[in-house]
Order: sequence, then structure tokens, then C-alpha cells
Amino acid sequence: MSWQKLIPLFAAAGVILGTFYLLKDLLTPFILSVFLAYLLSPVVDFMERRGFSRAMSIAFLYLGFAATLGVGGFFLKGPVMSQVKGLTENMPEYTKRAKDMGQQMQKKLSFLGSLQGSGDKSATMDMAKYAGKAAGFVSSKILSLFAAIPTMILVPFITMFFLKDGRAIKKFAIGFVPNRYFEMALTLLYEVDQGIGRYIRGQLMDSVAVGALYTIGLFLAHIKYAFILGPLAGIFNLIPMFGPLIGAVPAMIVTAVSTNNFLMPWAWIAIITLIVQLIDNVVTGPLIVGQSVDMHPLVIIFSLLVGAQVMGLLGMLIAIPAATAIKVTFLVGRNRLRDYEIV
Amino acid sequence: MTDPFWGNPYKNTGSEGKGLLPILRKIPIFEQLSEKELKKVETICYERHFNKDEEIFKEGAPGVGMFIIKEGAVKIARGQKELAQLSEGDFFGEVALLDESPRTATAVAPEKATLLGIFRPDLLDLVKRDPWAGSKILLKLSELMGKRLRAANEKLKDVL
Repeated sequence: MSWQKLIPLFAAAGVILGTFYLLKDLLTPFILSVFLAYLLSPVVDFMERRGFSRAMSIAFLYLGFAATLGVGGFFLKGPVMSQVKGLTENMPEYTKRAKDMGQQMQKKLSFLGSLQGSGDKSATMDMAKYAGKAAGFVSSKILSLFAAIPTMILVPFITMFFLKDGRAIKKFAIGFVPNRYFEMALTLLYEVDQGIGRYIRGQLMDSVAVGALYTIGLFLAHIKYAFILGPLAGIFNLIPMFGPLIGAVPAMIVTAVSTNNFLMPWAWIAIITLIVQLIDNVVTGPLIVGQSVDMHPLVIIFSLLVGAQVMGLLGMLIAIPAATAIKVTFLVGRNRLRDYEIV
Repeated sequence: MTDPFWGNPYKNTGSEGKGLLPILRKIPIFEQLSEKELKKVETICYERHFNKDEEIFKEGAPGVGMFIIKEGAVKIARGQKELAQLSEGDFFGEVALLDESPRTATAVAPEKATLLGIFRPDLLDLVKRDPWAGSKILLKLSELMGKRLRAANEKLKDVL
């Protein structure tokens, strides 16, 4: 088997990946738009099957979204905006409270006798510092979601173009492939498209369901900022394996710093997390996602770590689709290269 | 044709599409399609250019789609034996639209040729988007397979 013939292919793949890495910050709205396009494409295909043109189908879809947002916004605007305003106004106080709680916790745990800080700093200051940092980290991540509003406005426009011209874009891109590799590349692109499309659609719909359940649960339990923490838990649910646990952390931190007695709210958050995950694993997950990701847990963990290293939270969200694409490319490509006698 | 690097791929110059509808209309598989449906088929055609003596596909390789000769000629051979010499307007490899079974012969361009390729993944996507047009195409494909099978049976009868 002459693998040297593949050197130009690997070189091209390396150049493409390197370019993506260098432009990763600019690519954020495009990556989010690809996710949305995968999610909405079946709806547009459905309307196209009913005889509408693709452009008309997309127009109807967006009108439907606008109407839903309008109605939803009319009813939810008050509670959501008041929670957002409350969180942003109170954040400095919450950060200070987190530091105070860190100090108190350190005093209570001082009997352990082994919590000496590094150098000349006392452990008390270290705990307070870390508690303050944790609160600050969570608040900055929540607030950064609102700072991403310009990106969020750009995403629907880019999604619209992907929905309308996605096929033309794929056709244009694959047109560059030389004749010798063309049929193989076409098949590979199709299989990767099918694989990650199924995964993204399933995960996104499941996350919407989890976010909705979490929001309802937190609201009914009178947890503060339910309309922010619930959707955030839904977003974190996109991360396989660790997402549900990570999703509960912001709720616990925000609750700890925003209420005087946080043990009861924490208990509620834990119960809500368990119930939502139970419903997700037994009902919504199997129905919506179907097959679980066909990857060894170690591969999932490694992919998540690489994703986090390269692109932070967004990297973790796209880590599994990217790993799926690499896996399909490797498996299908290896067989096709033999079938077409390229190697 | 729109330059892929400097041109606007979304501008409908019609330069790639020009001449495709009349070519597609002559293919028996698409003869029952309306103008609108034919335009959808046009969007899934790939125009591929082959140099003299360049292999289009090899015997035994997985089949992915059919080709229509827009310009030039194609030689179909099995081993050393030449089975057919095709010219402008002819089509070949259509069985691959139905399944991935290996190609039964090798196709080579004896001179520079421009072919239109229609491939199974895109056809499946078209069937999903427009089931009525997809059904018409698949029905005509099945008719064509039936005709070829009957012709092969007759030939076998003569031999036996």
C-alpha cells in the first residue's frame, strides 16, 4: 500500500486545518450558523417537498420564528429582562459575597490544619481569592453571552445563506477535487454530512428540551434567575458526558452568592438536575437523539479537552461533531482509497 | 464558466448551466421531467473535464454515478476488449445511481472530453426534496435496466 501518494492530501488537510485555527475567532458566527442550518434544514426540506421554492420555504421559516419570538418576547420579556438587569447590577456585590463566603469556609475548615497557602500568603486569602474568582468567572461567562448579541444578530443572516445555498457551496468546494479523487470525495462528504447532521440535530433538539425542563423546574422551585440559568444548562447539555454536571454549576454558584441561605436552593437544584437528567435519559434523549455517540468515552474526553484548548466553550460544543467527521473520514476514506486503488 | 477563485459563484451567468437543459432533455431517464424539475436535475450536475487518455472510472471500483458526454468521446472496455465507443449526447454508468456495485468496465477518454456527472448522493437528496421528480427518474432508470436485461436475455438465448 503506497501511503506516500496521500502526502499531498495530508498536506492540503493540514493547510485547511491550520487556516481554520488561525481564523478561529472570526469563524464563531459561521460555526454557529452551520449548527443552526443543520437543525433547520429538515424543516426547509419539508416545505420544499410541499411544493414551495427553497427561498420561499426559508422565508416562511423565518417569519414563523419571528412570530414565535414576538409572542414569546411579549410574555417573557418582563421576567427575563428583570432577571438580566438584576444579575448585572448585583454582580459586584455577589463577587464580594463569594469572597466573604470563601473566608468563612476557610475558617470552618481550618481544623484540617493542612490548608496553608503558598509563600507568604495565608490560606484564608487563597480561599477567598479562589471563591471570588469562581464567582467572577461564572458572571463573566453569563455576561459574555449578552456581549455576543452582535454575533447573535449576524448568525441568522449567515444561516439563511447556508440554508439557501448550502448545496451550491458544497458543489463549488468539491469542484476543486481532481478527477481521480472526485467520486471518493463526494461519497465521503455525503457520509460525513449525514453523520454530523444527525448528531447536531439530535443534540440541539435534546438541549432545547433539557433547557426548557430546567427553566421550568428552577422557576417552580423559586430559584433566582431561572430564565438565565435554565437556558444556560440547556447549552451546557450539548457537551456529552460532562454537560449535565457543568450545567448545574453556574446555578449553584449564582444561588450561593445571591441568597443568604443557599442550602435549600442547592438541594432543589440537585433534585431538579436529577429529575431533568432522568427524563432526558429515559424519554427525550432516546426519542430525539436516538443512538448515542458511537465513540469510546476516552475518545470523547480527549476530543472535549482538545476542543476546550483550541476554542474554549465553543470548541467543546463542536468537539464531538468534529471528532465524528474525522472518524467517518478515516473509516470511509481508508476503504475508498483501497477500492479506488489510490493506495 | 465562472472562474472559481475570482468569480462570484452565486452570480447566475448561466455559463455552466448554458446548454445543460437541452442535453439533459435528450437523456431517456429525464424525458418525463417538467422544465422546473429538469432545472433541479441541472443543479446536481457536475461538469468534469478529462484529458486525453485519462481514466474516468476503472473496472472494479465502486460506482457512484452516471456520466453524460457533453463534448468529446469515451471508450468503454473490459480488460483489452473494447465494448463501446460513445460520443456526444451518450450516457453511461447509470446503474451506479441505484447501487454501489463495482463498475463492470473501464471508461477512458480517448481525447479531451467534458462530461456531466450525476451522482447517487445528490440524486437521493433530490428524491428527498422533490419525491415526484425523483420517482419519475427512478422509474425511467428501472425501465432502462429492464430493457438492458431483456436485451441481455435475448443475446444469451442466441448463444445458448
